[in-house]
Amino acid sequence: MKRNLLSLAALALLAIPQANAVPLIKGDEASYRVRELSTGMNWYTNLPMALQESARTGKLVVWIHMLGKIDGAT
Amino acid sequence: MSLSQEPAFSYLKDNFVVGYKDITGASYAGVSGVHMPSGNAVSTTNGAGPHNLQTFVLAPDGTVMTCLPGYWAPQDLVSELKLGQDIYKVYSDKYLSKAEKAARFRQMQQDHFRTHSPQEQRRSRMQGFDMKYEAKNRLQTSDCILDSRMASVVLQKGMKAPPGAFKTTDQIMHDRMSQRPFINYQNFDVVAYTDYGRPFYNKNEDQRTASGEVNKDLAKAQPLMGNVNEMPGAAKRARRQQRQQMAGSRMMNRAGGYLARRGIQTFVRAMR
Repeated sequence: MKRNLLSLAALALLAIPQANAVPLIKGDEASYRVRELSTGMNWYTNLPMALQESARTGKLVVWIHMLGKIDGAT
Repeated sequence: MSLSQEPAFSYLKDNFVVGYKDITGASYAGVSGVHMPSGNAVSTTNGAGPHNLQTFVLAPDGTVMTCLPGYWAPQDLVSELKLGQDIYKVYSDKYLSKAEKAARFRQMQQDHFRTHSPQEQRRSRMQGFDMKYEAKNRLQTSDCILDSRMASVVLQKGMKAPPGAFKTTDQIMHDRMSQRPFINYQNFDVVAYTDYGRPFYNKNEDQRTASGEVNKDLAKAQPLMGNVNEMPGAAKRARRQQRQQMAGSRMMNRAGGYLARRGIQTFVRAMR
């Protein structure tokens, strides 16, 4: 009986996802999305120019600080 | 990765001028492993990696409507972008005074946090290693900690923080933004604004096994980018900052106590 309970507990532990296991997007898919993102919009790297465009169009600016480049290594 | 996912991608594309700045080498930048565009990607929690990524919503004159530190899930990102647009309506309202605008800004930031669903709050749970960093280096002074006694539990091996010990990252963000109404981007204190958790953030996307677990040997050999040289001193600086803040607070308490006593004595003498 005790052994059965231990086996059940072990099975239950195996069924619990590992704490550090996170949903993974594979390289091909990630690469496609990076391409879509970097080519699907006009990304400014000069803030004054982005603000000028904002004043012209009336749209606000989403300005991102990031380590790396939008279409390169990050 | 959330920027390329819907609904964030379409919302950004249709409603904003977009731009970015590579902050490698900036004083406030953290450290991350190098990820190539063809590498794997993982989802993470809202507000994770605040030192390595910041998303500003700016008015045409460069005034900050809102700023998101770290990663945000696509649906939550859109909701915050909409808040930025709503705040801009207040900012550009000709019939409101500067003080009224600032008051509304604060209110809108706090109200927005209160509308976050329990699911969003779960997505905004601070990373365990960031909790440990806050508890270890500024247990008494961190604005991320709601209850220092409960928060200290994370310093025990294998223990997790009980609910209510730490703020969620969405609360940290809205609390901090509330204190920064309509500041120009050039004057925005990115260092203080993004200062929570450890400077090193890496999900080891390309060092994982098929089941998603990190291969520790591969992770150790991974090249890093960002302020690598600054990393070892960051924790020391945080602890020193805490000591200074606490010393200042003790001095104020002593001075306050002295003045209170003297004030009472002066009052009693005057009564005689």
